[in-house]
Amino acid sequence: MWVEIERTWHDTAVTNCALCGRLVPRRIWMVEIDGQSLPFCNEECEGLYRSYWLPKYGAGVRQKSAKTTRE
Amino acid sequence: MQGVPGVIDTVTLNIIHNALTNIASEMALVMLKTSYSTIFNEGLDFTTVLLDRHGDLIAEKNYTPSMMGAIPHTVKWAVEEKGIEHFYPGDVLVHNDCYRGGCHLPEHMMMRPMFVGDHLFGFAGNIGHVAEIGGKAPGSFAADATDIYQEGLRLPPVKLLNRGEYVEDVWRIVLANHRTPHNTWGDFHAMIGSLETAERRIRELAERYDAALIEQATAELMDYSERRLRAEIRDLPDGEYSARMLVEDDGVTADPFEVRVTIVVDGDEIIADFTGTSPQVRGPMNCTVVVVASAVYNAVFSVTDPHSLIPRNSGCYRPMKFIAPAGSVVNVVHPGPCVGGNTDLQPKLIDLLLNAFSQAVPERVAAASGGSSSNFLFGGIHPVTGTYYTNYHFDGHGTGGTAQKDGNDGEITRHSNCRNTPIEVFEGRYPFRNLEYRLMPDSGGAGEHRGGLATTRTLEVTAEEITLSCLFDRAKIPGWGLFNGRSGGLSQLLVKRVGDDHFRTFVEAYNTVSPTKFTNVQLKRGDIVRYVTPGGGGYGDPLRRDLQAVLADVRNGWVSVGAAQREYGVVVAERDDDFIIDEPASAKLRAGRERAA
Repeated sequence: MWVEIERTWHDTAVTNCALCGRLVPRRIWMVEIDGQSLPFCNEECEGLYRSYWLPKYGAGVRQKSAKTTRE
Repeated sequence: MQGVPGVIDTVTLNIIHNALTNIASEMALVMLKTSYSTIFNEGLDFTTVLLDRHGDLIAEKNYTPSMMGAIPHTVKWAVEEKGIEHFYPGDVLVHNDCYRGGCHLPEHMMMRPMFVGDHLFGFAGNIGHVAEIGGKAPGSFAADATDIYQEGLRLPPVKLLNRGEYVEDVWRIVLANHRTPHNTWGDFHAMIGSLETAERRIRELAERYDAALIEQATAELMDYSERRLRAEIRDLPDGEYSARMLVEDDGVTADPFEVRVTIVVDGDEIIADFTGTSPQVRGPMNCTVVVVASAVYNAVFSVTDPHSLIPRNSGCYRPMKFIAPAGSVVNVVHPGPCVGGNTDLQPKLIDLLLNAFSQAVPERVAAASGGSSSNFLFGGIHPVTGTYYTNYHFDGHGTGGTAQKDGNDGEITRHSNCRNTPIEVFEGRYPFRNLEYRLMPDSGGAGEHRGGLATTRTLEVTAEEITLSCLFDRAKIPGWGLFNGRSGGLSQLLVKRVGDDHFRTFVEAYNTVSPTKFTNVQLKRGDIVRYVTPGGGGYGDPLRRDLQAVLADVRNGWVSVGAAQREYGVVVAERDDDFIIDEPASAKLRAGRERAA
């Protein structure tokens, strides 16, 4: 589902897509996969994650791109 | 409009496309003609674009491909973060935040909403490499930086102009943190002027063609470009093509790191997957995610549309996906430094992608290029003006040989496409004297089509003191050849200090960690610096190189007599101030080597 990131103007954190690694500035496509909440750019990235990334690298491998970095 | 209702005829579509492209070109001319820094007006290290109101690219003046791939992402993310409702007529927003879509800190993106009446038509945008933005090194290129704060002033998306009025507080912060605020003032205004020109021209175009028609045309052009690129991708053989490379060091430690890529060609789509690449490194060789995007677009365009026949807009980008794990060397996260990732990892990423593509379409790729921008930064108090100056200088390297031809000699990296600064301008502005500037013999990797030659330059300091910082790569690991082609030459940086009788490395003379990546070395009047950029790799077996091509290289001084024999199996003799081939000896030598192989 789409989730709006609620950040105050002085919060410098950024969130990256769990698949492609791109910045997700405000609206996140948030999906629960294998008990993990993963942020994606959109449904397309989720689809590629399921159809390409998971079969190739395995469900047990944590996708390191799912990252919110705080300063 | 003619013909089918709702469909724009081809002639009108072409006229609008060319008009938009000309606007982007005029934006570039404004920057070229009005900027203060040589990095803009000689180096052309900038690019200008038009985007629709969704942030999709609709036209470009593609001086610098690395910025082209970045800017649609950068603008979209800035609009989404700020909220489109916060853009007003006359606004100009600036942004160089590496973690929010910047290429590296020096490259500043500016954008301005373009209104036709009350209607938000889209955005004008540009990216320019601002030559000095503070940080630990004059020229803001610290090869030993261990975090972003050492690289200069970082600006998240903030307004420089609000409804056409200066946001003075932001300007004051920026100008107080750059070493050469006068240049920043001039270059920022060149960028702003370029954006203003774009909006004016769009309004004029909207008087000839209704804004709604132009918007429909740009949407159709994007669909057209997407269809064209998908057709080209469909012609590539489906499959997975992988390659990996070691990069020699990060500027802080001497340890190499690895980049891996798998290209998946699946019907009319391509995925470039960098999963498995090394975690981000301590030094500034990390690159940002938009740099990866640019590298992928660059490589894919190289093999699918090398003559740029497809209009470049966001439609082209739709069939291309990439996976760049955050926190890896191809997608740096806070607080990782990244100034060299844009200049010196990006060209190698393109080479790596082409290496992977060589398994699918060997006739469409090049061997590795020199792969380094050979960044040469210096500054100090100018002996004539008495004011602070800095300069970002780069020279060309060799590009890789291809199935069709030799690599290009002395060409600035393919991702930047910049120009060097003429010696007359260089010496007129900066206290260095050029003692030598030429192509470097034997630096192109041998091959049926040899790699392009590197350049070498020798400079003498003519001021009391110059602070020098350099970031050259490929000093230890050369650019590879393909299909039995040989590697290109290595880069080198040497110094002969006053009183020395020979050149030494910077490790020997100044105890730097790296011979080619260092920060803030103090040169004195009379010191001499010599550098060699890396050469390109060769393509194909050197023993298959045409004898006359080898002879021409020897006559031009590009290949030595010794290398002709050693690398190409061609025996060349000097006779009557000319060179001739000893054909029987060459045939015998080549036959012997082929038997041994």
